Amino acid sequence: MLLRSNALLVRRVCRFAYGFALLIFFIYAISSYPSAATYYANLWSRNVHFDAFDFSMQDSVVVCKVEKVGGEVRILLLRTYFEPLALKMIVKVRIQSDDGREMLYTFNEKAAVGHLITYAVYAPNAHYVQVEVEIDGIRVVKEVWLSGS
Amino acid sequence: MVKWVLKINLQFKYWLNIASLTSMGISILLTWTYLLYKVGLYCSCWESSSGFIIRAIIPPLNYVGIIVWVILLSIPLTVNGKLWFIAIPPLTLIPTIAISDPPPLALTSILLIFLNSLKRIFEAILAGIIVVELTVLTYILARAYDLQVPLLPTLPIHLSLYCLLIPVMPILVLVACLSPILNPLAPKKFNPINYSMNRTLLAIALVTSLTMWSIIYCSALNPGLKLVGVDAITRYYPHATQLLRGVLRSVMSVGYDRPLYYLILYILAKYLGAYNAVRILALIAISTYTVASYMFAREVWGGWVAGVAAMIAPLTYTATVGFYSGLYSNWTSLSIALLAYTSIVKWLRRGGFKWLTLYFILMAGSVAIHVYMGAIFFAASTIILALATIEGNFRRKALTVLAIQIAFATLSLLAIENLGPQLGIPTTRTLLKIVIGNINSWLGGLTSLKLFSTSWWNNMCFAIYAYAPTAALDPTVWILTAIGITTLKFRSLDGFIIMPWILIVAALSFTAPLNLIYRVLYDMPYSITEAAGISYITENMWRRFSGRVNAISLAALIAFKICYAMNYAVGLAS
Repeated sequence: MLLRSNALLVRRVCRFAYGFALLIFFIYAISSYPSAATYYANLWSRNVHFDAFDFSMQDSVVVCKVEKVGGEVRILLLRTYFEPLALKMIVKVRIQSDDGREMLYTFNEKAAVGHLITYAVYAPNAHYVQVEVEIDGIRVVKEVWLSGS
Repeated sequence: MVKWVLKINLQFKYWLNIASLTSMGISILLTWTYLLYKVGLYCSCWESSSGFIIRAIIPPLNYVGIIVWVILLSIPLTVNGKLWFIAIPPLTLIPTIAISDPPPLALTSILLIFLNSLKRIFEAILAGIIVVELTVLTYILARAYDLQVPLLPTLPIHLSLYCLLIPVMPILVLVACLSPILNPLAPKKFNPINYSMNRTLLAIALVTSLTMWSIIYCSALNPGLKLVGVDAITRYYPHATQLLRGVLRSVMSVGYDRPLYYLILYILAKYLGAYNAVRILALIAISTYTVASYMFAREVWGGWVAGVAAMIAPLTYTATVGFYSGLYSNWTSLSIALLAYTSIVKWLRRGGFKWLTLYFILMAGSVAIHVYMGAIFFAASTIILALATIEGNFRRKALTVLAIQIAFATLSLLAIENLGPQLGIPTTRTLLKIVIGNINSWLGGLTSLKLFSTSWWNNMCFAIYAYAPTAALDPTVWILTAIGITTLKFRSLDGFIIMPWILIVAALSFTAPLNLIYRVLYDMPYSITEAAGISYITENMWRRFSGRVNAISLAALIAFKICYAMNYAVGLAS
């Protein structure tokens, strides 16, 4: 009886030691992982935050944000999960500058559901932006007067 | 009359309980999705037309969504709590609309967690996952087949189930590869229970395989019906047209490293045309793999695990990467290797020279369909047979096969080396030269290899995230494989067979050049290891909880895997 309980104890100690050694090994093995993984961080987290809880989410596309960062006009667009059968999307961006010049950009996009898309257009003197998105016959328009203009 | 009323009453209570469980589960999942949205997590997905896309994790809410959430909350609060609890959800609606944000609803869902037992919450989440995944499946199939049905945008809830694990996916792969060394720590070993339903599961699995294949060639997503899969476009289609232009002999010169496969391609192309032949190759690969997984698991563990393995086969890493990269010959060779293992298990258990003969024919077939996969299979089977010689029951039989196998391989290598040029194989591309060339390239990389260093992890991350993008991001593949292998009995036939295989795959993938890591990872039969993992989990749940929890946990896992694989197939086609 005593021998049996001793054998059980020895087995438990060995198992614990083995488990502890494996733990140390795994910690060593993954210690270099974070520095390698940061390169891929944009796959799961982007420095883009959008405020889409404005109950306009029933549309198949939402223009979440239009802003001026440095000399660039940045447009954040979310193709929502509604109307998944729509396949193509046309994005037209009209930018007016302080000097009265007007620029028009057209982007043909595949309408992949849930896709969060950022457009950046170099326009240092922009003061008015109109974004028009057409998807499966439905048009969504957003006009923004940029601050400081 | 009283009996009838009682029966109706019981049935009503049963369905009310199911409705309560499901609605509580969906509410908790909505809260989880909302939390991830607030944290700012995204999910990377693949769409052929757009490449890598970042999908927003955003709860599917608008006015209707908010009302649905309120109704979902009312059911469990009323059924399991007090009647006045029914007033809570409508009251939370007021602040929700006032702040245009659903934290009050999310908090009420969290309140549900405190009002119920842990087992009930677990059941509720699983039931919620099943319902959500069924709506996601409808959404996916409607997208694929252009079905005009009302669709609920629940895809972000599905993405929220795994997106938190994406950052640690290479670590999960590492754990799966190293799972044999975790084996001594497993508290209980895998001891499968057998239920009926295995044939039904096989039939469902074959339909799933056909659906997976048909999605990538459905006209709604792929209007031009262009070929899908890297190798399908860059290798098989041009080679099929080349084979049709040449003579039968060109099978050896063009497909020197997979001659049998090119012979099949040649025959198919001759009768169906090059384009249809390449499309059919994908169908052959996925259905052969499903059947081979079933047969192998049935021989080793019995019918129930076989049914689960067949169900998983078209939904695992082998299928997603196989479709993306068009690795049809690797895939078919893997299936033939599984069938060869089935024969050798039959031989070791029961004897009979027909099984031994079949084993050698299938082994030769596996090598002739894809030399590299065949080489891994040969190495694994040699170790397996060497290990089987330790076990008293199999010693004589294993020694016999081992001796014949080594002699057979040596003679075949010598014969191909001498006869190859006469058959049309380029003199620089004979079997022996390919093997030696590969060993040399591997050894060349080994000198500068620093295992688990930052550069090593860089390569691993690249293989997991960037090769066949997002195909490896189903965490269940790696988690279930790790559980399955960890719990196998080492001194049993299943342990003998699976352990050397994963050890070879792990050793090669850890030391492989950058472009070969994912191809080495591809050489493992994940349908088998995952089936072992799922069966282990459900078997232990059966003991700890009840049959209902067991059944719904299995259904939830399979439903998740179906949605992941089919959503991936939709991305490939569009």
